[in-house]
Amino acid sequence: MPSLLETAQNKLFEAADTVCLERARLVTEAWALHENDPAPLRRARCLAHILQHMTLDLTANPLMAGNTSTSPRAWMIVPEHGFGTPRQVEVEHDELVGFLDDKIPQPLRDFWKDRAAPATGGGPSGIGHLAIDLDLVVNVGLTAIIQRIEQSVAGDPVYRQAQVIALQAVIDWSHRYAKAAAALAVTTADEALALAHRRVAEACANVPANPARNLFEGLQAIALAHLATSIEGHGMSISVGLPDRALARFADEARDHAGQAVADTRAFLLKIAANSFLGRGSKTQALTVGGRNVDGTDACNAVTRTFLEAFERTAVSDPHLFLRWHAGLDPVVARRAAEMLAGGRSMPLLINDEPTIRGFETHGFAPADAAEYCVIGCNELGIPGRACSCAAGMGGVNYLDLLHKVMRDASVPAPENMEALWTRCQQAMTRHAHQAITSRLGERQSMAQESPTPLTSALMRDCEERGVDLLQDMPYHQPGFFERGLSNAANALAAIEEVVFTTRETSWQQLLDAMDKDWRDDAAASLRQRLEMTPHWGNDDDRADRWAQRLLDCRTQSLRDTAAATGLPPIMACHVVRSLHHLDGFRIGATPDGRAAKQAVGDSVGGVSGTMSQGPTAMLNSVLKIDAPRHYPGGYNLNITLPAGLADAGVIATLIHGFFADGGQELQVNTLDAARLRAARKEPEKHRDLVVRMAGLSARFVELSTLEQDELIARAEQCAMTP
Amino acid sequence: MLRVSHIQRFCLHDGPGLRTTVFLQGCSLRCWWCHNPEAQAMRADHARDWEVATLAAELLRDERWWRAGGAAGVQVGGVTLSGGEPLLQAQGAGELLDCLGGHGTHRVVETAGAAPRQAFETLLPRVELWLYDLKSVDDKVFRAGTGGEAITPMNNLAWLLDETAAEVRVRLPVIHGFNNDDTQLQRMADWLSRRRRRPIVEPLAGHMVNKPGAARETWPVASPQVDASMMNHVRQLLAHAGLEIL
Repeated sequence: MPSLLETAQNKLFEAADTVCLERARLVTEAWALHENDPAPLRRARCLAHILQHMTLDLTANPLMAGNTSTSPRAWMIVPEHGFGTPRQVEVEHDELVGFLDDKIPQPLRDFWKDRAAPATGGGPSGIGHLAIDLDLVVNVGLTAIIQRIEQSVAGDPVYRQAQVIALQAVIDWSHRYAKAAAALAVTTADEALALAHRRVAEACANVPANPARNLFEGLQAIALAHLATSIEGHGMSISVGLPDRALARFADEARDHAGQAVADTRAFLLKIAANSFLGRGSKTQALTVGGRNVDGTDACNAVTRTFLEAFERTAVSDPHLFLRWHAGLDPVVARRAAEMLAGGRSMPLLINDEPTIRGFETHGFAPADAAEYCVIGCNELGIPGRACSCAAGMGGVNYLDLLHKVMRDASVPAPENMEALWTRCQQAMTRHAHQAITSRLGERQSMAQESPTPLTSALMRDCEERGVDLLQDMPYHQPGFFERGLSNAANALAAIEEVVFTTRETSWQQLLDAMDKDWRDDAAASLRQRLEMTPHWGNDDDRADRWAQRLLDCRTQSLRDTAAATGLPPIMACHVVRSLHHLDGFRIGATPDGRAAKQAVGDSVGGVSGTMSQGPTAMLNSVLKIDAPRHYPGGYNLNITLPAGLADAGVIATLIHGFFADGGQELQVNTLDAARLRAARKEPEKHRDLVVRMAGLSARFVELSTLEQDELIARAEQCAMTP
Repeated sequence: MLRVSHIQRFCLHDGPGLRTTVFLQGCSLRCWWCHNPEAQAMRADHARDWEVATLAAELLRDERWWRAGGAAGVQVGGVTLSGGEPLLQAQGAGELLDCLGGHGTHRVVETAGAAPRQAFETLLPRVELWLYDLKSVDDKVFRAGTGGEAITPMNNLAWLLDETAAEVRVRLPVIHGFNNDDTQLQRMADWLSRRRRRPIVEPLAGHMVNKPGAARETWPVASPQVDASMMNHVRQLLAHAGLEIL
């Protein structure tokens, strides 16, 4: 007989996507009642109404309380932000294209037509891309936060009132679960199930109102707070922060009762995975463990190890696990991570403390705060509870798109030499960065007015000292700038330099003509073949690598100049892809790196798949030429795919150590076997536990679109061939 | 100066740790199962002559990965000279190994032993580990399979094991239709077990690859692959002779 854990996991993975209109109806009722309230109060009362009346699901996963809709994968709808599906979710799961079109009743659409405020930074969702302060949730408790807020005179009294309403609503919600679980414990005949209900009842009677008394209560408190912030309206990338630090006082319990600790943590992971916003679509709920403390000591404890084990045994893709690496990392944790990656788990994703913390510090963050960073999205970085981060992003750039536009500018003659072309690129970058950032200057304030989140704001550290929304005031405002296409643009510039201006094998116009033809006639196809022979980023070849460095120097300077001119704090650039490399590619014509029109751009700061002939160490050498703290204080993503079987834990550990010792920032390792991927596509039901890392997204392979599956199979085939 | 067929980074099976392997151009043998037939001829269009210092600098681009194995508590990597037959370019190879040694690089030479003793003497103090291919100790069989004489590689290997303190790992390629019968295998095992220092032996399943190669074309027989049960048998046979198996 399957265990309660297995049953919960099966229910989640087997569930088809449906729509749950309960939250949408409840928020509509409450909105109509409180339409004339100030926005923060209206938002808090809507949340309270939802939490008070929503169906409590203690059957799909009875081991822990917390749900966002009536059943797994029944989409929780947040009409306050519209009824769309993010394009990237449609790219990742082609069966979800147009999924919502016929499932939203017309009266609901009509009600929200002029009321919805579609937010940025995550499609039709709340802004997300942040992590609450788990220490408040686990070790302080919501009742104490309410008391602090009630004693405060800072900020806006109306906003503080809204925060108290929202916090009390979460406490009441947990008490509803406590009562419901207690009732179920009495009526069920199954002893294991009754025990699970009693544990939930006991825990929810205490947390998150009060400090947790044991590991299970700590996990339960985090789950409820996390899901409540999602119900409040944050869609994408509400991250789970650094749970092993918040739960550190239960480390002895996790060590002494390891089996129970792992089981409880697995139940927790399934609870977060069942967050039904976007159904099977990823919410990119990053969970970060490990790392060093501000004094340099290792922050790992038995809870860290518990999370690794729980992830190893639970095939969830969202939450995705990041491990913060540093020179003094617990060797047991380091070894386990390498083993998991060699085994094909595609987690943990790895991030290196040294350049990351230095990046925060050199961009104005205090060392004590920088040491507490975590991942707050696909791979974006933030400080839990203290930074309003790239949520309100300041735009971004696709380098390849920028170069393409420079080349297509018919108002100027052909460049005479490479430096003339490069000067045009620099000017275009400066203009683009300035325009992107200045067009968003007022966005954060207007979002604070239209879509405040009093609950989430109340779970930020020292919120009572500010008394305003997190978008208005936080210890750090961290404007993000997002980019893609670095690898392709470096390749394109290196190719132009060699073929047009050095050997002069082809003219500028011939190149443009061939791109116009999308490489289709013989001459164009032959030029394309020649372009593919030019130096490429990701092969440790300075002829290509220097172009990536020049692009980054230019972009960083442009951001600095714009920040200085507009009075913004330092801008935290980030190379973030998720699956946007496909969407970007769809709209860019053929480019001089030999890429055909509509083809995806590179999936990370590593080389473009299929262009790395020198193997992984050469690719990593190229990436190590990037000064990460200077250019990517907001993080970059780096994919490396190794052939399954060949790359054992020792090989992976060697690559990690070498890359991180010399300043590499992030590394996401896939060990893939093309044959297994093909088998999984053929018989998905036999490979439901296969989790992979896409460009910037973890996913269960069998649920991905054909486009994404093809990309992974090609990557697996490529890595098996080289070197 | 060294004539190089090709350089391969991120090698996992040419010695300890992550390694960069330099395949030197030219070999005196013509083994029909050779995996690198393009490196057999002394001259070839694809081969490139490298100045030693330039080649060393090129290889050292991956130095961080060799060291990283040590930091990771796994194994320190380094450079492996393979081929072709690296001993045929002993002077250049020695200079290169000196250069690398100056950087503390772990150095491996992979040889089939068909080279003058003097070449071994040149490289001996510059090599941390020898990977020595022992194909057959039966001159008739050896000659048929490789076109060379068995005695030279046997004498050189015996010298390394009996007269020097060099660290040697003997690689024994098990080739279907060449040396996979018990008589041949037993003779190799007996010969190795008679050495003053018994080496660690690593039997390798000889997989046929269909690379174009001059010697191969004279051997039209498509040999079957050596399977796992054959390899188990070989290991047992070697172990029975008192040899340590890798």
